[in-house]
Amino acid sequence: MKHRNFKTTVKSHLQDQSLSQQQLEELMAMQQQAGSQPSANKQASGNRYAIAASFAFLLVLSGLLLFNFQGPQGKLDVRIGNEVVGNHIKLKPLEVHTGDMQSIRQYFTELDFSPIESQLLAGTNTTLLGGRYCSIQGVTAAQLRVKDNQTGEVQSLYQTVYSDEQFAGLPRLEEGARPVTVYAKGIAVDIWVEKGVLFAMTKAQKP
Amino acid sequence: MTFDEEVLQQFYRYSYALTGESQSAYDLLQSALEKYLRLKTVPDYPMAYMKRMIRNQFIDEYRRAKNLPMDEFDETQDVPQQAVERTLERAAISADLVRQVFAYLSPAEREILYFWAVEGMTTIQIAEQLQMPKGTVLSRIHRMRLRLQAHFGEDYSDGMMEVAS
Repeated sequence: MKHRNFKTTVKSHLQDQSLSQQQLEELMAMQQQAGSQPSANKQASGNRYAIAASFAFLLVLSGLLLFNFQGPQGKLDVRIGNEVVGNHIKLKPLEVHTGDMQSIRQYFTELDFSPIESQLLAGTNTTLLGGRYCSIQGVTAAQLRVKDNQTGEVQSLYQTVYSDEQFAGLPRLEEGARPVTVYAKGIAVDIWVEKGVLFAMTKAQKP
Repeated sequence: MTFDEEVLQQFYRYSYALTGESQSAYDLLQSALEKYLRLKTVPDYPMAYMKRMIRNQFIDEYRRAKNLPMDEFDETQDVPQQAVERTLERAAISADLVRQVFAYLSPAEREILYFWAVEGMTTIQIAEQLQMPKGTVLSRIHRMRLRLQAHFGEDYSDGMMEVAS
């Protein structure tokens, strides 16, 4: 077994690790989304690359919407479902532990909307456990965690600001539509739009 | 400030050094980037700041999950600097074995290897980067060498046995 210098071999091993193209695109999209939101306290970057990249992103997005291109992962609701389930399974630590929505709104001050209680969940036998910042398709979101009091199962309830540019085509409750259900890794996810907020919630598995 | 793709790859490799696993590394980077993008002002040194955020995020998450030995990032021990630095520089290892070594080492040890091997830092610079005493860095390197010798024996110890007197 040929031995090389330890430093060179360690460096080579680490430099072999890299983000996939999809992961890179997700992280770049997060930055572009954050950069497009005005903030009075942020320094003006004057970054030509960021401006050109944002323009190119919008061009590509327009093309995708125009030609109804499904993209490498398929339709939007499927992509959202995959992302939500992926994060739900990991059960990352909550950043705020609380059982009331007022405390949730006081914590989530960096969103472009205020988290709300969905009419679909009113009267359900669930307990709010808390939340953490997350994202959906590159848009900053609130990931809340709720417990089904009957089964004890913990579910993830995502909320993010709705925009036609990113989430067109998803069912709106105000128009009489019902949530769309998608499946990923054996877990069902309901997705809908309500009062300008995009919701995505994992569901308990029926026996 | 927007980080370009190459910088994101650097952050990913640092995250990988801490977590030792590719999906965990991506999750860590994504969480830290979300927090960075919520900052109200751009830091003076964005890359260094972002690396610190990745590190803090890693420590917070694993401490909460109780996966990280509490003394991992805190211990200090007196070790001669010259002896320790020379043993790393003189070590030799095969490409196959480095993967096993990486899986075996702790996050704190992998982090030191990252700054030493990828970013070319000296122990003093690593200590400044990690905001810890130089003695802590040295003791970690010393302990790493002893653990690797004990675990991997002859294959690893080629070149590592020479210690300055």
